Amino acid sequence: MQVNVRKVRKKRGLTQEELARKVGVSRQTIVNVEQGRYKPSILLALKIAKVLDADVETLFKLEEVDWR
Amino acid sequence: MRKMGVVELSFVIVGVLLSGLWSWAILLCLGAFLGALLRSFGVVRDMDEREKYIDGLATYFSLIVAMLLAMIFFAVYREPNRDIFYAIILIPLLVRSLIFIIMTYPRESFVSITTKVYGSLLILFALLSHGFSVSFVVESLPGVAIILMGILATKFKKWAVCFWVFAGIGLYFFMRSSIVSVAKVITMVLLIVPLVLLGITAFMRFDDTF
Repeated sequence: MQVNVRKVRKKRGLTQEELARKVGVSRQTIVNVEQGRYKPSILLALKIAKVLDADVETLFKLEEVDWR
Repeated sequence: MRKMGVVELSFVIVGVLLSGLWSWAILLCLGAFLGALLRSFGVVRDMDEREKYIDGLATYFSLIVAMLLAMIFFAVYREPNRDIFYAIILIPLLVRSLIFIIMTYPRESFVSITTKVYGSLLILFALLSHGFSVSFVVESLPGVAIILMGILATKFKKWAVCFWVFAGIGLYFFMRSSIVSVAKVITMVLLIVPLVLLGITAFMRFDDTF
């Protein structure tokens, strides 16, 4: 899965800490989501998308490997 | 989350200590699951979804360790004794705590939290064994040293070597004696495994989790 959270977050001028606080998770969770090591639930993905004012599919894109 | 961890650890320590006087006090060790129970009923909301996932994963691995230990002790000793029960209770709890802390907190916090808890426990056990005496001062020195090493290793990476030196000293004393007992194996695992992990973690970059 291609994760664009970091790119969009920086465009919006938010720090990991601020994003974490707004969506109600720890900073480490945002770090892991941005690095693609943790796949968030639908609820968390929607919250991140809402805070970053972006579509979920802009933030998380399926790749060929995800279908295997 | 940290407050609940302290409460859970207190239950385990009190349970193990009191079990020497009254066997049923060992049930207090069930307090290690207090946080998980309260979270599942929605009473406590101190973890986000990733932390809950890691908690579940750590518990799963601790179950594997508990079953493995039970099977090994059954194969080796056939008859259970008090030390075997302590091993089956304490070692999986240690595994669960270490996996959770190492995967949840940044590496720097892992070193800081683990050394403080570990050092404090050594000092507490020295105090409970000897009261306020010269022996207490001498036996609490390793605990104080570990707390100091934690503070130094988070600032200067080279100090992380001390964790391995300490682990090596512990292992040397364990190997020196030819008599191997369950109590000695428990002590070795509880003392050396965290030290080796601390050494590895303290040498890594501090800006991230595993």
